[in-house]
Formats: sequence, structure tokens, C-alpha cells
Amino acid sequence: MRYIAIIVIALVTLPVAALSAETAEKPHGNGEGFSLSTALFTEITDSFDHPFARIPLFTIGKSTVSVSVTKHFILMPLVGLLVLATMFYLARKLRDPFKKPTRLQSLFEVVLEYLRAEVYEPVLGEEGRRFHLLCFTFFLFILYSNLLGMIPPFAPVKPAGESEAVWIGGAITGNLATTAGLGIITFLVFNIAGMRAKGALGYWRDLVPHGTPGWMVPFTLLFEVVGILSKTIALIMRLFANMIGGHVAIILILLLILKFQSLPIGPVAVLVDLAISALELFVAVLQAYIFSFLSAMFIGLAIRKHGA
Amino acid sequence: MDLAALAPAIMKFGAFIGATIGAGLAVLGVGLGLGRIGSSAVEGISRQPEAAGKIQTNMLLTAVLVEGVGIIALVICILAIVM
Repeated sequence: MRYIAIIVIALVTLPVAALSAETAEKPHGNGEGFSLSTALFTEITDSFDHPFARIPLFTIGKSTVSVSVTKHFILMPLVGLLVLATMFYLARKLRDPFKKPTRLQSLFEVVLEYLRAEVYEPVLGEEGRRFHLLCFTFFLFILYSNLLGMIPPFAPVKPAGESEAVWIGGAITGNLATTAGLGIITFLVFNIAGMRAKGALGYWRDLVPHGTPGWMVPFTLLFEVVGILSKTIALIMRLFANMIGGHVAIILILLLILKFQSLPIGPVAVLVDLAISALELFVAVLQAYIFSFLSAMFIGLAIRKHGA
Repeated sequence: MDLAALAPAIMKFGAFIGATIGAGLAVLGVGLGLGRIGSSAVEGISRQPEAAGKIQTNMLLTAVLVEGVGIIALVICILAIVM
């Protein structure tokens, strides 16, 4: 138990310490002073302008379309490998079910059992059993990427051939593209699952409740379709905004020290950042749970036959 | 007073005012929503203390959803200031 406490305290205090060191060395804007927005942007967003490598794909006319290997590009397979490693570890422990479970194994099994029994089973039901794994994969992926994003950027890494160094900080879920990818997966899964469960036209017909008068059907259908789109967009934006907001708050408070250039601000800012970092750890876990729970709920709503 | 030369300053001023007022209104809405969630959850627990666990879970879930909307508004305000 005390190891967990040490890890949590380290994860909370280290960002503050490392970010203080980082803002001291951050490259200045263009000589006329320190720009808060550029410092913020280089910390949080993906380093498109200074990629580690460019892998050319094909050429259209005069321009080459290439894949830029940026920091999110490298971090995302890492998170995927972590998810795979977790599941392989758990599966290997299943081979001998009578052995006393190790602590790591029981941690994951408790979480998995709670999610399966209390969260996914009530919303997905009997016919939704094959979606348990998808939702749990969402949970693990978002959890690991959020927690990896809490690790502070210790030092800048200078890509070969680029002028500016890149600070490897921020979570990959702080990138709108990542969360949009996850949201689009949920959107496709719940629409296609609904169409497979109720028939291609029956799914769209079932969006309108049974007893609506004829003249209201187009309006209700329109509202339901807009509702589907807005639920997906809200899913995407919620995860993105939660991750970005936390990092923005932490960095802005530290950059306040530089802005005001006065001594008493220092300890106050660091203490406030400690509190915000602790909140961020909680938000990281909670947002993973929320995303997977909402995905399960949307899929459950799509495949459930109403009036049964 | 050259209006064309003042235009970027006016835009920046407008962005700041809009962003701060927007953020304040968003926080107002979130505060009201979370207050109502908390109050109804506590009232539910006081009526039936055995259901405290379930009520707490649902309260946290709804609070996260309401907070998500507020944070989306916050990101738009930050976007308005930064751009």
C-alpha cells in the first residue's frame, strides 16, 4: 500500500518540479520576450513542425504526402503495446486458475470483473456480450495514455535535422485526432451493430418511437440522427477537453511565475499545481471509465429491441 | 484615429472579452448543474441509506457528464484567446 502512495506522490510532485526546470530552459519566442502561447503549444500539441522523421508515401503533382513520425506517432504504439502486454499477462495467468493470484493480477481482475458485472452487463445485455472486449480495450487504452501523459517532460529531445527541440509531454489523448479516432470507432460499431441486429432499414425505423403521429416522424428522425452525431462529438470532445484542460491549467500556473517575476509567487504556484496534478490523476482514470461506459451504453441502446 | 489600423487590437479586445464572459457563463451553468446533482444525491441517501453506494456511483457519473460540457466550453474560450 505504501508503494502505491509513493508512486502517486511521485507522479504528482514530479510534473511540478520538471516543469519548473523546463520553463527555465524553454526556447524564447523571437527575442522580443517570452510568449506564453508558444510555450503552451509546444508542450501540449503534437510536434508537426519538427517531426523525428518523414516517411514519404506518394507524390501528387509537386508535393509529397509523407507520414511524419512525431511524438504522438511514437507514443501511440507504445500504449498499444502496453494494452497488449496487460491482456497477455492476464491470459497467461488464466492457465493455472488454482494458483494464488499475484497482486498485479488481482488488481486487473478486480477492475475487469467490476466493469463486466456492474457496467457492461447491465447496459449491453445478453446479445451484447461480444462488445465487452471492445469496451475494455477502450478503457485500458485511454487509461494508459492518460496516465502516460501525466509523466512530465524531463528534457527536450532534438530530432535529427530539425532546428528546435521537442518536449515529450502531454497525453496522446490530448490530440483531437486520437480521440476522434476512438469516437469514430464507437460510432461505426454502434451503427453497424444496430443495423445488423435490426436490419438495415429497421434500425433507422426504430429510432422513431412506435406511437408518434405521422407528421412528426420526419422531425423525430432528424432529431434522432442529430442526436447520434452529437453524442459521438460529445464523446470525442469530452475526452480531449479533459486532457487538454488539465495540462493547460498546470502549465499556465507555472508560467505565471515567469510572467510576474516575483519571489512569493513561486511556492504558491507549486502548491496549487500539486493540487491540480492530483485532481488530474483522478480525472485521467475517470475519463477512461466514462468513455468506455458511454460506448457500451450507446452500443446497448442500438442493439436493444425496444418494447420487449 | 485610423480604424483600419486599430482593427487587430479591436479583435483582440473582443476575443478577450468574449472568452472571459463565455468562460464565466459556462462555469455558472456547470456550478448550478453540479449543485442540483449533489443535492438530489444527498437527499436520496438521506431517504434510503442502504442505497448509498448506487446513488454515489450515479452521482459521480452524472457529474462527469455535466463537467464535460463545461470543459468543452472552456476549451472553446481558450481557443478564442489563443487564436
